[in-house]
Amino acid sequence: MFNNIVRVLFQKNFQATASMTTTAALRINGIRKEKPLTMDWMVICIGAFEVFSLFLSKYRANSLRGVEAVLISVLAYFIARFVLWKPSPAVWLAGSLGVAGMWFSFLGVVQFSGEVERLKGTGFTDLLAFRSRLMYPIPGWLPGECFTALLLALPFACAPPIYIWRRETIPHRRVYAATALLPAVLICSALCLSLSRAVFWGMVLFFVACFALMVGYRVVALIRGRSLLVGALLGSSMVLTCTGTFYPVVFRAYVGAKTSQVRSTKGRVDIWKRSVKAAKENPILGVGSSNAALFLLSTSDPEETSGFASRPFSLPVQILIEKGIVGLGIYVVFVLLFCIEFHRSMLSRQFPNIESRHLSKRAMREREQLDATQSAYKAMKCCFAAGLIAVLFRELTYSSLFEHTVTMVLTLMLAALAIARKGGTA
Amino acid sequence: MSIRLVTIIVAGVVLAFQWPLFQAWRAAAKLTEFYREMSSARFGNARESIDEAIRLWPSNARYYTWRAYCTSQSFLPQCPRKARSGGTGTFDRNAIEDAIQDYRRSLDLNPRDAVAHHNLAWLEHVMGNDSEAERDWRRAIELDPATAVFYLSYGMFLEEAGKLDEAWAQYEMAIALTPSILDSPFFVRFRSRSPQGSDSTVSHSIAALEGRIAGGRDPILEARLGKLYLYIGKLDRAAELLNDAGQQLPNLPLVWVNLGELQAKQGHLQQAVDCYKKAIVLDAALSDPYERMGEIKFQNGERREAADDFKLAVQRWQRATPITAAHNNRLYTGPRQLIDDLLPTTLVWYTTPCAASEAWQGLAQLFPQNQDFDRRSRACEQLPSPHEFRDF
Repeated sequence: MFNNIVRVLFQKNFQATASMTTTAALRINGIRKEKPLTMDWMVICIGAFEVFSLFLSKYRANSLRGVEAVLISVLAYFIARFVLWKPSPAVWLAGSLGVAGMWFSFLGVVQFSGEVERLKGTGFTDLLAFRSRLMYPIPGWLPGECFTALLLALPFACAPPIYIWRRETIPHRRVYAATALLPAVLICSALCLSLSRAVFWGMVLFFVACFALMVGYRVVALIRGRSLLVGALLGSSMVLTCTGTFYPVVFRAYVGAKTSQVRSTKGRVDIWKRSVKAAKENPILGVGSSNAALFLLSTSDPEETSGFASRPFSLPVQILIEKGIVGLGIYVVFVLLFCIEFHRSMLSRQFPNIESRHLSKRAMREREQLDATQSAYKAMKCCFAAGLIAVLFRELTYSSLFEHTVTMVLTLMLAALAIARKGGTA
Repeated sequence: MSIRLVTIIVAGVVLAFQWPLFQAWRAAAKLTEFYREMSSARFGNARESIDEAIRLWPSNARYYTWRAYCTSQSFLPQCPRKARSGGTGTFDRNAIEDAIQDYRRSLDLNPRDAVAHHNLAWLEHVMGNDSEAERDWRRAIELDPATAVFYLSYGMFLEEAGKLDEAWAQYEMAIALTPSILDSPFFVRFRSRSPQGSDSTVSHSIAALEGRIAGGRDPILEARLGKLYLYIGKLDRAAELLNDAGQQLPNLPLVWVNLGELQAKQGHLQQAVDCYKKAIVLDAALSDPYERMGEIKFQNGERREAADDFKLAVQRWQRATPITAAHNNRLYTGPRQLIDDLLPTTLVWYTTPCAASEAWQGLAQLFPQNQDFDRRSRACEQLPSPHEFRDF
């Protein structure tokens, strides 16, 4: 459903989407005079590079879809930069995406349960070997990409509860925050049932990174952050235990080294070696978007049994083979710039800092509210940044970000939301 | 420059990029229509759809391969010598030239299309351009060295030319990659025309796999080797290898098909049915397990269940698609490929296990009044061979 909505929004009504962005650009007064951040230029540079590389692609027709995904994501980035630079619209968007993630997780869990029953019914006991076929929440999607989408939905699902919890002026905020955690819990359950080591540890890394950033940027005190991290990890463990009670295979999936897992790791290493070999043939600009599998085909060894290489199974390797050293450099600079801009945005004040002695009681109350909002907003941005860290960690051993428009859009939106601030570089 | 202006420019550029994308979407819709028409064997309508797709997106290599494939539907799935020697009795040479041109155009745009090289090779062979055909078959293998059917096609070409040793080497490669070829009409006929050649091919494949397995346990190799031992009747060794492969990687459907056959040969019919059921759960497109379950049920007097299984076996066999179709869905963006893409048009059925004859025979026994079942009961035997082979 979500996939279809995105398709309708971004593909079928492409003109409408472009007009929407333009209208947003014209209508929104808040940042009318703001100059673009270096990061914004970098995103434009990525879009320009993708269009340019299309003309040098070894098989252009195959690359068109990848370029389309990047361009739509660039557009989504700018929509996010324009429309979502204030906390409340960001919270609403995050909440909506979190609910969408929850719905897909629910479908995934139901499907997992059905598949497990079917396999058990025919006498299969070792479910780990079937992990790639146990969950297909989004029709037409490959399971790996679908887990990437769910992992990307996790920060959106966690952002509203974090925001509500940090808005100290909201009455009964803890109750609301706990209620708002429901989508995140369901997404965590689906991720626990993925039986993919990279997805599971990516989820754990998300929580660790989120609270480490919050503590590092003094959004929460060290002691509080530590206890929150322990709480989050305990919560995840509880989710894992609950899912593991129904499906004991979950416990073995993330620590054991079953034959299928050993073969999966060995196969990936083989494919990386083959990818490097293929990348050496086109080192500067690569073979073009979505062409990696085509060029990996001829490097396969009939003596090996690692199987058909449908992807390079690592985002950096995929960028190297498809976009060459130039493309890899551009994306590395993008990540570095993101880190710098995120750091700056965390140090900047979203709202004016006025000295207390100049304020009336009413103004003091307003300022307290603003401070609470600012703190909450920063906490939420830590959550978005942690989401990016988690998904990039997962992408070290998988290459799905460029495969689907939705994963690419969510990634660039996370980046835009994490660096949101008023003032820009001006 | 303000961010507002930047966004307006970005939106403008993205909007401008919409035109080629819009054309591509329309072309993709036409391709989907083409698949539908091909599946229903309405080749005229299919041709119109693919022509329109090419008009909308002339730089898409895949569309030219599909047009060539559509044109080739009118050719006989055989390569008779009289056509090659200049006669036009069975082939429309202009149509073949058109198909060849389309494959060449496709390869100009995407020189890494192994299937296009393979199909082009066959058409060139039909036209008598054997040196070009050989070069294209070699190129197909070079581009996709893990696909067995390319070795088989090249081997058949070599065998037809009388280069037996080279042909058998190609068959060995194919069998070592996909041992289920042993149950295909191709191998049945190879065995009947050259028992010595087929035995030597199987024993060489076994030796090669035994050599590779000695380097370390590999469930995939064990599964392949198990099938070969099952074929030659060494059931103990086959059981050892297949059980180990099934234990290590229970998600391999063909292991369960072979374990089922093994159990059936050992007289454990219920265990055989359990294995076949597992294979079906893992890959519902397989026809063999349905046919074999049908046989067992027929023996047990479960006539209705047996009939259902035989019908399902025939349905699955009729919808057989080659591994290249699955690969293409991963290699190329665009609508999901739903149809076969290999030439000659019966190659898929000729080189994969054929359970159709037994299934039709089973149905003919169950419904003796239905002449149609009886008429089709030699479906596998009547499949045309792509080449004319001499008896050795």
